[in-house]
Amino acid sequence: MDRRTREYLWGYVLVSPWVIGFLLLIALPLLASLVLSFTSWNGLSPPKRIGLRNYSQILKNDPLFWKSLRVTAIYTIVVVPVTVALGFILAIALNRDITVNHVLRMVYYLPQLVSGVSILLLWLWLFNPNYGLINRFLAIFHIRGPGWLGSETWALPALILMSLWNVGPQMLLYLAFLQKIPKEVYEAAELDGASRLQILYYVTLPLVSPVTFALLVLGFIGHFQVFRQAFVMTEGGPNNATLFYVLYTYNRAFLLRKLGYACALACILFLIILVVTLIQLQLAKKWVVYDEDLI
Amino acid sequence: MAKSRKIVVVILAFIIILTLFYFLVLDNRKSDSNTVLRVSVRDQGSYFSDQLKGVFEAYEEQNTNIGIKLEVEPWEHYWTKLQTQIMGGMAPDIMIFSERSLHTFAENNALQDLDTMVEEDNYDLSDFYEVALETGRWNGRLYGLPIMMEVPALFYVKDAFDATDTPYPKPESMTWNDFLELCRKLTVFTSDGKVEQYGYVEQAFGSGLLSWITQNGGGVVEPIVKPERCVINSPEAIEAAQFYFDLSVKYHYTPTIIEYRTEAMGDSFQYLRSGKCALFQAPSTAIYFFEQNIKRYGVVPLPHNKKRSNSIKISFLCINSKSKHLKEAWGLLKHMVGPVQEIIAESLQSFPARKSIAKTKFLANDPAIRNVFLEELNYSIVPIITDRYMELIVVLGPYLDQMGTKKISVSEAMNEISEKMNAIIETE
Repeated sequence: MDRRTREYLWGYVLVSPWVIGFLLLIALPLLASLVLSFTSWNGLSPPKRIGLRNYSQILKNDPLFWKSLRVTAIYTIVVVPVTVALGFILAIALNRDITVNHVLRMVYYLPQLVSGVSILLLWLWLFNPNYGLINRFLAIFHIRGPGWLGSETWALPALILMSLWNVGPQMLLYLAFLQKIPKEVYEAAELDGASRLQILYYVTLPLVSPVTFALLVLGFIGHFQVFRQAFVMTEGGPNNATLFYVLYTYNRAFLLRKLGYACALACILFLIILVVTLIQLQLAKKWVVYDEDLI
Repeated sequence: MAKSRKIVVVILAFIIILTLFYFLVLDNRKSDSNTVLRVSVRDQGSYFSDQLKGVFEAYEEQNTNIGIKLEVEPWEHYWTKLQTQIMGGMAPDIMIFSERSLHTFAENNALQDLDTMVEEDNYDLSDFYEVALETGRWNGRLYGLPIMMEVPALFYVKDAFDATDTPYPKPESMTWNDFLELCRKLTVFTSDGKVEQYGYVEQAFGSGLLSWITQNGGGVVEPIVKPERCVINSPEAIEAAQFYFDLSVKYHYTPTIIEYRTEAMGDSFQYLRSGKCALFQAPSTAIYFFEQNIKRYGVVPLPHNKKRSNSIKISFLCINSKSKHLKEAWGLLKHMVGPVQEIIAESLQSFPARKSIAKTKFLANDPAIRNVFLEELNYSIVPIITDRYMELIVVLGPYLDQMGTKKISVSEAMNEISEKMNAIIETE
């Protein structure tokens, strides 16, 4: 065996644990889910083949499918761009290398470290219409706070607001990219007479566009699969106002034991995310600027 | 570099082989010497678990070839985990099921038919309450031995009655009109229209609706076992539901669904803790809370209109049909049923399903309150017995929200519920 072949073999050996894990725990279940989506299966008796009936039922006779899609889409469309924008603004504001900024960066990143069910329970108290801090704060300005999680109108906005406090990862990524931008680029722009806003729009934004693109794509993929907030705080209510898509899929699978149907829902989710991501990739060619484009 | 790679490979291989050896050889060898029975229960507090461990230790001493592994799961995750275990073929030998789920799993052969074992052993079932035993049957066969029941009754807080100069309710079932009048007297409004004390609170919004419906001579489905149609839109059921929702929406004698969710954060006991409630409808499981927190309280039967009736919940001990130790599991099940119910009764966790234990061990120091539950048991029913319970019951949820916030009229809602339930009953 020559050296090159040995090197290749070593490569395969060393990545094999991950590959085996991927095949067994991700690829195989994905394939199984696709196959099961064409069956009626309650998890207890053998699956029964029913062709496209699950998909037909979902698309034609399931109002909760459309409702959950709408709720999830609204949530994602608001949360993703806003968190990306907030992360960018914070990064711009905290880009200077001074002690206060180091402390503030840590403060804004803290929500990422303390996230979890316990924080959701804390938010439940914050949103309490009678005793919660949010309505107490609004009362100072003589504003009567809404019912938040108990109100059909305000439950989804409450969850959206809650999601906006976690902008630490976005801020961090933008900071890393901002610090990569050479000072000479800004100096050149200033010499050309560009104002601060013009520098922001024509220099900074294009140079951080790869980060923006990555955050939008990953943000969409992640937030479209939102589950924990509704599961812990609202269980999809009131009156399905916060029935997110993945929660609906979960309810179908584990509450109603319609696993074949839930697999079909999961496959549709996969397709939606795939299509949107492909569209984003295509659109990215128009506005994302990579380093090699500048050469 | 080649030498260091070899060392890494040798270490990795050693770790993998050791792990495989442990799980495939040692772990199996340990279980060969003893029959290990896995028992899964819901978490009902450390007292319950500790007492149960004591019961198992005593059993293991008498049966030295049997080891028992107790698996205690948090209440809210119990069903999801159990379902997943059953689906994955890793279910415990003995499990707890409720009247909502037992029939689904029995229909799909996940539970062991106990009738054969009962007949072989001449096991005496006469001490079990009939309603509980019959609910544990599916297709005429017994699939679970009942261990506890949630029998509802009406608790009252004496301090709340004293504060409004209202005499305590008599120890008889009052009519709906008397109940409404009592709620009116007990509900205290502030000058700006907010409620200082609710006349009536239920353990969960909507939890008593089925009882109210049956008290008015209505029902949810017909027949109760393996329903063929939904009757929740009958005039009696609509009248009952209207009365029920008027308590919150029209009179505000009870919190609205939004208030339950936001003021009490879904925990109605908050109203009791904060002294904002006079009457509280709850099952026998609430006794423990009242004993610990309220002290001055009483219990009376539920109100009635056309007849006395209440909707009961029952828990069963069942055997996994795929258990490799059916005979041993049955032996343990028979042993558990008695002592477990004694623990339940003495710790006020719930109402035992055996008559001898209910009449002697449950609330032994307060027979008057015990008699209220014993009396209510005479009118207890399980309103739906089907293998599609969850599919039917989830239809109700959004409509409770809509009726509770007046987005839809009660009659419209009940008609839509009936339509949807009938569609489910009619499809395979």
